[in-house]
Amino acid sequence: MDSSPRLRSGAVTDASEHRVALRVRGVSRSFADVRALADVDLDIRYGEVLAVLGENGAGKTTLMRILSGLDQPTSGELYRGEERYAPRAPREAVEHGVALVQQHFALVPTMTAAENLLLFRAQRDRRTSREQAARDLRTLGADLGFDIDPGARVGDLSVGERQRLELLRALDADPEVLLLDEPTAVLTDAEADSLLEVIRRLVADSGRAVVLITHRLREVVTGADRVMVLRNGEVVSPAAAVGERDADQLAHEMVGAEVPAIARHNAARGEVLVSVDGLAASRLRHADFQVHRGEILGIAGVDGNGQVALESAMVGLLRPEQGRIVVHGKELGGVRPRERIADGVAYIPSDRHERAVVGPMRCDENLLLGRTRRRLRPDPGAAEVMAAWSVKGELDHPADSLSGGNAQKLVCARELRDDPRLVLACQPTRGLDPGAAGQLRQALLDFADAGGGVVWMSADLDELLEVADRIRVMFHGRLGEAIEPPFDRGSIGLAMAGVS
Amino acid sequence: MTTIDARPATPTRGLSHATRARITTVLTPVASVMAALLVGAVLIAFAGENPVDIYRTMFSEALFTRSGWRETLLQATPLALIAVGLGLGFRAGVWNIGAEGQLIVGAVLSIAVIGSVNDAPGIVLIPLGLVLGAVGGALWASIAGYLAVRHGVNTVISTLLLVFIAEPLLNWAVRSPLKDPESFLPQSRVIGNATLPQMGFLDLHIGFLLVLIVVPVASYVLRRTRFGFLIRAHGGNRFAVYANETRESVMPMAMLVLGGSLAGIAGFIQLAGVQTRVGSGTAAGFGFTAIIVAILGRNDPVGVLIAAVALSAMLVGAEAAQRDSGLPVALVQSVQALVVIFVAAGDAVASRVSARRARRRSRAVLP
Repeated sequence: MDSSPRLRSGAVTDASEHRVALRVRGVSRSFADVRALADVDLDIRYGEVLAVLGENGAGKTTLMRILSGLDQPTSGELYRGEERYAPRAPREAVEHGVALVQQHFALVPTMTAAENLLLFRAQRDRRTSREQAARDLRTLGADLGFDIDPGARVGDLSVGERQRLELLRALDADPEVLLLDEPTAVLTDAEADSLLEVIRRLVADSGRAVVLITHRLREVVTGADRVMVLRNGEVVSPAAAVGERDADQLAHEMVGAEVPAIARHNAARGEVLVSVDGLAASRLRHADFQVHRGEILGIAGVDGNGQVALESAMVGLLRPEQGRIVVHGKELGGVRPRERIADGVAYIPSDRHERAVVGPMRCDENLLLGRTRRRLRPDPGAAEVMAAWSVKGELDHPADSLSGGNAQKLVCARELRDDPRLVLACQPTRGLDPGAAGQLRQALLDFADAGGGVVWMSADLDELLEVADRIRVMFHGRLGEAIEPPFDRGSIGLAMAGVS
Repeated sequence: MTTIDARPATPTRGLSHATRARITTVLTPVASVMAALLVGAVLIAFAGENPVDIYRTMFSEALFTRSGWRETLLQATPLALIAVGLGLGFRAGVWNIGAEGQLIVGAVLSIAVIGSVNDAPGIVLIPLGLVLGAVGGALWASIAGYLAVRHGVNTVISTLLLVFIAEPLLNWAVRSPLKDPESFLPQSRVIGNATLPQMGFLDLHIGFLLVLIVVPVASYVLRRTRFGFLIRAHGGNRFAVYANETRESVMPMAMLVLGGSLAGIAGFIQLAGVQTRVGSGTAAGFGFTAIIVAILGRNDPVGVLIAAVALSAMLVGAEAAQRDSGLPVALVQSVQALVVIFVAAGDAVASRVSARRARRRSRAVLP
């Protein structure tokens, strides 16, 4: 147990301001050859909300996982007070007064709210009766002004309510340090605001330390006392008071240094290839756009803002609630996948393992997916295509035997092979090594130069700035106005963070 | 270009991936049967018999007598027909364990129609019966298909529960609308002109020829056609099929209809080749045993044929052993069940071994 007294005794609340609750020194974390965190220093203090801002893959979640015992650093040290702190599991972190609310709900939907509270407790505390748990949940909720019915099945709760329950569950152990990983990612603005208010109150009333991970600038400005920016696993700017930098500066720091936009090709647009009108489906609230021949439309945005819904609706895996998608004068809704492909619409999905590759089937058979004829014939060009994309693997081995990057190259080889008209490329270079990513970028650029149209969704803004002819930012299920070159990285960064 | 993928193009040690997979595929069922027979021997010993004597009786009866061969192939016919369909379904990841019910409905539908046009010659009635059997089985299975694609009902549950609806349907049919007025037993009229002709040399009905047609056709379809490609792809990753080939409902429905048709055809063949009428014993458990056959035959048409013959030889031998030394048939059924458990366990072990091998290989490569 650490030296600090527990909160309900009221001892920490004297707000000897800025007393350090958790010290991070030189923490790095590498996965194989990928560096997720590099030499991070950070002081987390009592009585304040510290925001950690960054794009996807900046290392925010890795940092939280290390702080909460879900992961261990490759090098570097953590201190809780004066003591060395090296949790091997979340349970140990909780015993040290550190609790994490994860990005994805870890609730059991078939159980009631009170039962979920019990489930999270240490084994020895689980003997409490359900009635007691229900009372505890009410008390916890009342402190924060939440009204959660302890007997309600979690599956019946709204997303906002689930997020609150998740928060209460973390608070049940009465932690001094509360880590919140993108708590507002799935919430509406109003829900997010009220959650932020609660977090402010948690800090003001009990002097807890709160770390808030987010990519939304608005929340940083309204909710946090200090902010630190991570980019590519490194601390771009150390934690400093929020007031010291304006939103513009923060956005710049989040998305990186200004690079000159590369003039790609003659941007002469041809006829309209695809036109999407008022499309809404699931988390996609509204999308309107057109792509012309020879054009690359970049769709920027942080993950989870409706990109997957847009992607799925465009290939017919998600039924549009409103609106239509017209490709080359033909409505795409309700078209069978094979017809879509025959009509020249190729698809590089963001989740290639789920949607683009059949793992147990051979590589050459995977090259046929979506392009099968009634009778299968040996494909004489298969080896050539594999070689052209330098896919390292054997034709007659299962696709499972390929590494992630090679599997993606196989998918691209297939999708671009039979001269499509339009390519829907979703996070196409994610997880690729720089060489493979460059090759893929060049292939799509050449494709557009030859008169093809590309819808290029990416969370990597650098990439879009390099390849796109126009950029639309997706935020909260809506597509922003078209941004034309020369691109202003700052304003795109702001749009990605929800500031218009 | 520097890439982190330094995995060798071909594994450097030992056998190639494909060869190793092929060996596992064949070895697991063979080893499983051996292991099951061994456990069976222990059970026989517990029952106070000499396992060596019993097994000798079983195998000599099934393999070395003409009647044993005839009986074996006779039972293997419906097993193989049903298991080919089920196996293709399993291959696609679509579970159909209700072939018993599909067989019953196929048989009932064919006797219902043929019973009323009994005067026609066999050359007309037999093809008609085959079609009716297929239609009946397919209809029954498509109920589960509809529930699955429309309402997301698990086919394991729906197909199985439909068996328990098909059985009383049969019992009602042979007591009321289809009952033979000249019989006191609850059974239908005889199939009459639709009776399958026998092949001279084994006194075997021609239904077995159908197996010899269905197996290679299914094998060809699986390997060389788009439908077979979709079966394998759907089993490997159904979401990739939905994103690139067909809509979600197509394959589950197709596999259930296919499995149901073959089960229904097996129903007609049992009716017209062996039982001559429909009665309470029509299904006789072939629909369930065929699940074991499909699993043992690795869901491959040729494998299924081998497994069907092997399992029915075991059954025939067991009947002989029961005649000669009072061995309970239940014991053979236990051995059959053990075969399935051993195949499943063998697959689990094999996949764990290959996963470990892959891990070792990637560890050796990563920095």
